Amino acid sequence: MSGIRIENLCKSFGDFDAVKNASFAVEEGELVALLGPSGSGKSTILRMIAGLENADSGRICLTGKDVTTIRTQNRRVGFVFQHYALFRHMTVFRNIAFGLEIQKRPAEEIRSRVEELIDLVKLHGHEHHYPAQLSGGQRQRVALARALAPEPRVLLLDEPFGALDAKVRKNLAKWLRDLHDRIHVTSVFVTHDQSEAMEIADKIVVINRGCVEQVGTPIQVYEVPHSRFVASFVGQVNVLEAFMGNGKLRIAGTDTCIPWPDSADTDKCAVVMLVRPEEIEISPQASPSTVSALVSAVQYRGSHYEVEMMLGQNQAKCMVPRNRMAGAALAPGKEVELTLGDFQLFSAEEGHQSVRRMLSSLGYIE
Amino acid sequence: MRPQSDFVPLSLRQGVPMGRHLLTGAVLVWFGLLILFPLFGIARETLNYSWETIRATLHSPASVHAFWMTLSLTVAAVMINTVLGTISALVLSRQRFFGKMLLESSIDLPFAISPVVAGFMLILLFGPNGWLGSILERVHVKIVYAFPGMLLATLFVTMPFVIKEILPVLREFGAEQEESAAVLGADNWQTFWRVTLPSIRWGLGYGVTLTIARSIGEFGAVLVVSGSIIQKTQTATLMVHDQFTDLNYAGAFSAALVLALVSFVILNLIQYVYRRKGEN
Repeated sequence: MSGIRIENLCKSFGDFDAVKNASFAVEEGELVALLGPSGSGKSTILRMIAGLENADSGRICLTGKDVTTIRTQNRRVGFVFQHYALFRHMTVFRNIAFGLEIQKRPAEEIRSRVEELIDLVKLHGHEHHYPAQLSGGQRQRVALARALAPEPRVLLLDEPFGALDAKVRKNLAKWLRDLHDRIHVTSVFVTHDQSEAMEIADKIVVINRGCVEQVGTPIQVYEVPHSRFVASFVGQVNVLEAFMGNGKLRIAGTDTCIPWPDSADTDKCAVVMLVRPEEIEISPQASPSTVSALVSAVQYRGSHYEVEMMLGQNQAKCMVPRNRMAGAALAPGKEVELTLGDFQLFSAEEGHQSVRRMLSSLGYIE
Repeated sequence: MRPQSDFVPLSLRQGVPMGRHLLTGAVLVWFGLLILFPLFGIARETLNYSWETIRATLHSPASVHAFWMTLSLTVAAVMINTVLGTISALVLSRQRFFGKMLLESSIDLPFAISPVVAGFMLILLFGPNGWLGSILERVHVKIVYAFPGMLLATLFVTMPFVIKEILPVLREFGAEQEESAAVLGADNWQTFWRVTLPSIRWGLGYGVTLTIARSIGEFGAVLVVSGSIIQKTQTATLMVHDQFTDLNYAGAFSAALVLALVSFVILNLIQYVYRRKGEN
């Protein structure tokens, strides 16, 4: 049984289509990231799951029940707002107890449940403080405890770490993952930070301009992106213009041809190659399978150097580990030979599906 | 002997320029002339009369009725403004609808219109020949020269206070806390009492105290619609004016002193509420 199922969800605000035909499912107990640039509609989807926005069309099911027309109050979801939205006139204790008080649970039960949650989010000694007296990270944890107190069917978090500084953010993200591993509540969080999504999510739903671009594990999304958008939004990628046809693949502006048996019968057509920087290696000498490039800049990045270069008429970059740098003697203007690892081919028209994917170890795969 | 500190008050080190003394003096004179002297004047004038005279004038049926009238008007205006003002502010801050901008910009209208003119507008509308008044006359409902008209006049001049005080608070704290409450299962009524009202209480309190002060003091609008009929439609403020023009100084000064004392209490209340509002 799935925890959350979204079917063909649509929502527009006036002329603006915020969400277009979004469909995806979240399994029971999963931690899923809705990842996309700002304004992509990911928060709107989250708010529709909670019932804070009404869907124009489509269906939302929570733990098998259709809740599309059910009021927010009766959906039994937990929601953590980006800016926490704690009740400022209530203490930490009263904030967490709020949902239980509304359900008119016995006072003794409320007290023990709140204590249990205070324990879970490690806020001992702050029970009688007001939100204004807490730090950002502490407020976030109160918001989480408040959302979890009435035992929601699903937990929804809107940019949960967006308002925190980088260090607190990283700790809290990891802490959320650990917490999820302990309590296993089906959770969806919205983020625009791909590294955050990769780090803690079981599954990532990539959203762009109101459409679901891809649903998959972090590995799938990174290694087999379904679209150019996904490839470039999740991680870094080099986009190389190339031509394919007559059994060959040629990067625009270079003479090197990569044998491409598939395209033996097709006419020459424009394609784009998507190559992750870590899939480009500088090789010590030229060979028929290497591609030559001209170094345009070298930047120190601590653990590695980032080398920018011109590959024919394409700009590209790759990483060179610090210990390999000495031998390479790279400097702007130097000509180098490159070995390409895995890459993906997309037709040159924007947004089209992958044509072929090449894995150096496995040969060509569909 | 204590060691000499390097710190010397600014005034001693440089000497306060003459201009600054003059400015301070001017402000003191200005406040004194405008606020303190008149208060002192009333108190002094009233004390010229014997305690018995003051007591007698304040206990006269006309005076008791006038104070009762002021109290009733104030209580009614506060209750209506609190409820309708809160609802209006909630609608203006939380909902989108056609004509909202126009409505919002008209909140200040009662401040901009002279109260006497406001009174005349009510007469034109509700007077015996007014287009609403003539209809109401037929069903024997009297608005003008009666309590309902006076209440309408008071409401007109005090309407902006509550709305203007809580609207920015509602805007500032946003809808997120209310949404939080909804997700946690609270219905709209529970959300209002447990989340919204506690957040706006000091703003509302400030709006209410201003409403009280203005209701007690309103003269022009109420004068026009009430006709200031003794023991019928005369408020305490109208009575002070009446007795003064009738050269009944004892009555005028003692009623004025009572009103001034009430104002003093309200002033302190305003100060207190304003400070609490700032803290929240």
